[in-house]
Amino acid sequence: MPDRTLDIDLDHRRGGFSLKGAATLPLTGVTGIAGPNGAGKTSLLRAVAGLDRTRGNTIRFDSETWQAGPSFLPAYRRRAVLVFQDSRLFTHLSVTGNLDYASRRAPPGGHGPDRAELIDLLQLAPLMTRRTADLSGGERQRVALARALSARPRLLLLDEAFSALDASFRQNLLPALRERLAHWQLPALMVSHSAREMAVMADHVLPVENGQIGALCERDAWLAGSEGGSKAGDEPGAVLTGRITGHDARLHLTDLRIGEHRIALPGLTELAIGSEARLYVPARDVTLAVDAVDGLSVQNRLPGTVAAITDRRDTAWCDVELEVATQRLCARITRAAAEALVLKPGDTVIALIKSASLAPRQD
Amino acid sequence: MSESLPAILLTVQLALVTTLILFVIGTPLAWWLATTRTRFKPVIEAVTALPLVLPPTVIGFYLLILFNPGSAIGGLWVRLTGDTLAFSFSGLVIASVIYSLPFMVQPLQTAFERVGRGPLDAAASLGASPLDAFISVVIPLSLRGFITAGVLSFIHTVGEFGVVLMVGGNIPGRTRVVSIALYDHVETLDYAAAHALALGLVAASLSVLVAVFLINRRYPVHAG
Repeated sequence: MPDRTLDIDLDHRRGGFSLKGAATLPLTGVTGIAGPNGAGKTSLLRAVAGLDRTRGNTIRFDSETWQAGPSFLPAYRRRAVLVFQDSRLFTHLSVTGNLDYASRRAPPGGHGPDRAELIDLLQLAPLMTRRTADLSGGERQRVALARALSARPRLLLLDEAFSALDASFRQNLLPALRERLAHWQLPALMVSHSAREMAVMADHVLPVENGQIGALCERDAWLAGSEGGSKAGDEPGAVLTGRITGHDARLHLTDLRIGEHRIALPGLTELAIGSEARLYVPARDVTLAVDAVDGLSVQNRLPGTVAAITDRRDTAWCDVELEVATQRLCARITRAAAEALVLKPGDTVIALIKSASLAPRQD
Repeated sequence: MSESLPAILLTVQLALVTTLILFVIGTPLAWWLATTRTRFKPVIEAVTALPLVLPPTVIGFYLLILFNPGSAIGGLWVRLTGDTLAFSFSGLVIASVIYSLPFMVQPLQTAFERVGRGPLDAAASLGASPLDAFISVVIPLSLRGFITAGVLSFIHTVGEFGVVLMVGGNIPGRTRVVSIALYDHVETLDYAAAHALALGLVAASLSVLVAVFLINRRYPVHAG
């Protein structure tokens, strides 16, 4: 565990809804908060932001007590800025006015995002003089994100803050935002329904289900479905990290080196040659072969070793965890196929990755 | 018309002072009513709305008794200012504030409720204190409500009669407002002067109301 942590212990009840449980979250990088609708993810963010003052909650940010017993630090003194799912821009102010509103209340000087950087990151230049009422949902989310960052928060709280962005914009924004957050040393909690967003943004994942906070897990373990929460269990996947080695302009493919292997993928042409890319590979888009196969449309093949096989009870599926060039990959195949191939841990297999699974698309 | 001028000036002065005081009292009261979760909210709302339904003479009667120098409040006022509340301009202002209170509070409360918690939460999260958020977010977003409340309070004060007659009497230059002067003109069968005043009031009130409804066409506000 890192030194600086956010400790939460919630006993939140309002109407028929309750949210309970405790967790210690690292104040570095991005912590994803995952769970089905109505599980209590937004309530968790609101409690941390200081917008819900429920007795029984205890929240400590590093060495500061934000809430414990009767003591309560009001939201405006926490600098834990929430980006609302519905943006909540101030309709009486222009886009510039909304950003000014936040930056005027930000602490002076110091380390943090500046205006030019945010305009560039979120491509706000054409929006700056617009009225907020005339913006589209995606434009509003971009402005809301810039407004939150203009307040120079100590903790950024993202409540499905990317859901209205169009897929290609999001595809480019998320890695850039992650890099910027690290540069500003700004920790974030991110509620998301998208395993893909978790894969690209999160370092850890905190599952929340039925009003109960689960155990914090590593992102890769959560994605593989071996830990925490029904979402990843239903839709497992894995993150592959590779280095961009070149672009093929004619075929619109990008060459990627993973360990000593090479694969070519579409939809990554914005990434600089030499940069590192994190790619989410859903388990259902990975096929396995025990021998080299010819005549397949699937071009990307990575040799690997079977690490574990997890049966998905009461379904036709099982998830196969693979070790590929010291990284993890997850494949969802039918149990019938696993039996026919006589797969067992330690077997050498070839993972076939459908290129299309890595292209930008709507989650 | 010239003999009506002091009454007109006095009326405008009374309505302006009353409206300003109502902004100061009505804004926090309306904000509290819009945000409170207490069980007693309906009771407070009913008390606030009472001047709408009571005959003005009832309010005037009770105020007259309160303003009596022999009563606690009336006596205190005499000791503090050397003047009586009854049959004075100050007494008229207090009576008008009470009489017009619902015309200030209800449009403001409706406007505040329409703003809702969303923008306030956003402002708080961005570092705005509650007072800061009220000034920088709630007031601009409720501007129509403030305009409606101010205008309605003003013209309602101009139009009052019963309370003024009970509390203020009919002292030229001191408590004789337009509505009382009009009554006087009719009593003395000076129909020409009565016509001028009545028509003037109708025209002024109508033009102000038309302006308010034009402003609020898209966002109707319940004025009680």
